[in-house]
Amino acid sequence: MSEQKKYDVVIVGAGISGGLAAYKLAQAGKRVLVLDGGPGVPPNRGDYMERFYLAMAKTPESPYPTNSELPNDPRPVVLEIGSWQARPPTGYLVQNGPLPFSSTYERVGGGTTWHWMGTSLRLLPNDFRIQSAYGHGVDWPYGYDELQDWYCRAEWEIGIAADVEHQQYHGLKFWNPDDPARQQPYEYPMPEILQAYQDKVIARRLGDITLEGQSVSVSPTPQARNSIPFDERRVCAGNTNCIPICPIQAKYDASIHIGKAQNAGAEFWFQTVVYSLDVDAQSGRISGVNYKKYETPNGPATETGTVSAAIYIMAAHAIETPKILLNSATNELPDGVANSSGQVGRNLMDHPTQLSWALMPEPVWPYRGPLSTSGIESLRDGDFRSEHAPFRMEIGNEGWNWAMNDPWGSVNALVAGGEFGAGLRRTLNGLFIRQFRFGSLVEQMPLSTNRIVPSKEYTDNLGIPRPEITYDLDPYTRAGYAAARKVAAQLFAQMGATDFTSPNMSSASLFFYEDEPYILNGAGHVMGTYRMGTDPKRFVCDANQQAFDHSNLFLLGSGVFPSVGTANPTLTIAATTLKAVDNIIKSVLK
Amino acid sequence: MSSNSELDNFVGLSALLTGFAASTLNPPLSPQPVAVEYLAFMRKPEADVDPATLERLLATYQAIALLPPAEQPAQVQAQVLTDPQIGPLARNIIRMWYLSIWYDGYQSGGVSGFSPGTVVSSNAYTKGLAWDVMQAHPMGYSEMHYGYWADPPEAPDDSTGPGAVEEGSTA
Repeated sequence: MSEQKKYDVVIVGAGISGGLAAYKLAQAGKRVLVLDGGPGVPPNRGDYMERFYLAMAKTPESPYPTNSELPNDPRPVVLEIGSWQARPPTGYLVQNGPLPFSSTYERVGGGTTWHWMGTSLRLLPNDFRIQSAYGHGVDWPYGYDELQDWYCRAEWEIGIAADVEHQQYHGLKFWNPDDPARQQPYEYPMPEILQAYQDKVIARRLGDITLEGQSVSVSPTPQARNSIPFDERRVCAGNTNCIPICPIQAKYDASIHIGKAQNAGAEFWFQTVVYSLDVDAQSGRISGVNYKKYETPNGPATETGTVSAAIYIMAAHAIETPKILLNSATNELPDGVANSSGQVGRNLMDHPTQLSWALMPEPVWPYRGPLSTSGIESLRDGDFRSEHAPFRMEIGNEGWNWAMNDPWGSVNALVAGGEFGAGLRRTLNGLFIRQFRFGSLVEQMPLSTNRIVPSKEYTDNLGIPRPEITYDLDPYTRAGYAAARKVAAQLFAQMGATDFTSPNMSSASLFFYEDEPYILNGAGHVMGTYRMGTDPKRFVCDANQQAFDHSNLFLLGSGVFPSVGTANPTLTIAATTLKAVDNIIKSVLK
Repeated sequence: MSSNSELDNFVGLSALLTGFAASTLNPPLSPQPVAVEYLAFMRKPEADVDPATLERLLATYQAIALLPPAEQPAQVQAQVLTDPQIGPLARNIIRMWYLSIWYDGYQSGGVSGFSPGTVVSSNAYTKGLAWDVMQAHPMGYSEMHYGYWADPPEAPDDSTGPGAVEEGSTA
């Protein structure tokens, strides 16, 4: 053992869960060590910006070290999805199909919050009881009311801009967490972000419309970006670049809490890749975390070691955490750590995202402002959930950037078609300023066959097994996807917009529902795989996110979500993390 | 041909190809003139530009520039874009001005938004004409302030542009 120092807590992963946990635990006087496989937070974001500017494809990963630059800590990238069937795999993930898992994540200090959108919706009360209410999915071990206070605290910790009066739909209630009587009003820390001009055009043109039994309306989105100076960070300047990187850190990312945790005394070891946990055979408690350190991003491991603590927290996100747990299999625990239920790695979920794009008859002036400022939340809940999956419709402010790779797509198509000069300019102008799209995030049902396991065949540069994934969409989720497409078409018609949505029939992400073709898009929401619940036979951890099998092991992140609703997961990750860490401080390490 | 007049020819040709005024493409007193970068990039080996073809392209423009302005676009069409050598080069120059990218394999056509190539520089990225055409800003490079997105852009376009969308125009 190379480390002699005694820690109260070792945390694996320096993303939003690990960062928040480290901060709260260090603040409470605990000796905290955080291990992360990637490089630390850079002194400024200039290098990341330069890599972004020079990238041919402005993917979510484009600002960050490539897998060739950082083979010791590789991660999946959007550009590998198109060839997911290749063997040997051309990307990081080993994908078995039948559909490609299409969401990615970062493995650098700060994690995937570097390129999250910042959308910070709460789950709906019925999302916590979807099985009881609609006969689908899995109920959470607690309800909305039990998470409400933690949502408030997470919103203040991260810094969310929203107005409560615009967020009270589908039974969402807000109250001040410091008032047990629930009489005091609650306020978000910042006023809501101004809606884009296009959001207002869409709302005006939609007028009063009812679909699927729900009155459809456009709502301002709660966002983790500054509408006023907050937490010593500046206000949003509308760079329209939240994904892949905010140039000015007006959008929250977890480097904030890494810094706060360091200031509170937490220790961070970067370039330290954890690959397994040790279990004490006598007590069944976790006894150590095994890691490999490297000095150069593509060099060999320079140190292999084990570090111990009283409490272990896994916060490596919903693919790397189960990979490590399953990679910890021994003769005593042949199925891996925390896996007596056999559920570790199973029920991998995403928010499959149906893209529909159109041209408005009038200018809507896209490519301006944050990437999204409004959404249609009306179809996140309703009686239709007995029949098909619900969805939220994100309204994109980036024209056809995601949908059709614009401006690169249209400029090339028109130039190839012979246009030039003033005519080209006029055509492009008429096209770009009227583009808009909906991205419908569909609730995916848990399937135990959708799983991640450590590959027996393929390893990374340090010899650690790579994640192997089996993934499909169940009929209820597919029906929701189809409903989202149908609703988008209806809304386009209502607005007098011209629908340009057409599935690419040669796409590697093509799937069918009732003979209609659809293209699968990932939302970047990696969820499930170590879910919490009340029954140790069906779940990996309890409502405190404590592993059923190991009393000193806690699991953070969206991997604990039993069902995923339609809220972008990061705010719920933060709320559940704060709740779990509060319990650790008050009841476990007291 | 002096290097100054070569730059002038390149900018003049680019104005006809892109629909933007020469003074917009190469503003006087620009601290980092992207036109200079583009011309320099085309002379790098990785750009794979035959010097004689570039020479002929600029010479063809020089002749066209002597014609009345109203006749020039049609002659660009007839003498440049339909030419099997200088046409593909001219089209890659249009792409470079709009997208700040020099695409590989441009000689054979078939270039798309997913084709390989090189972003000429980060300075060039922030000066792509596509962003001006949409009356926005380069994604990741806003020089505007909080809340600008709540209203339409103030100026519909610059003086040489087409202005707001025309009634009935389509993609």
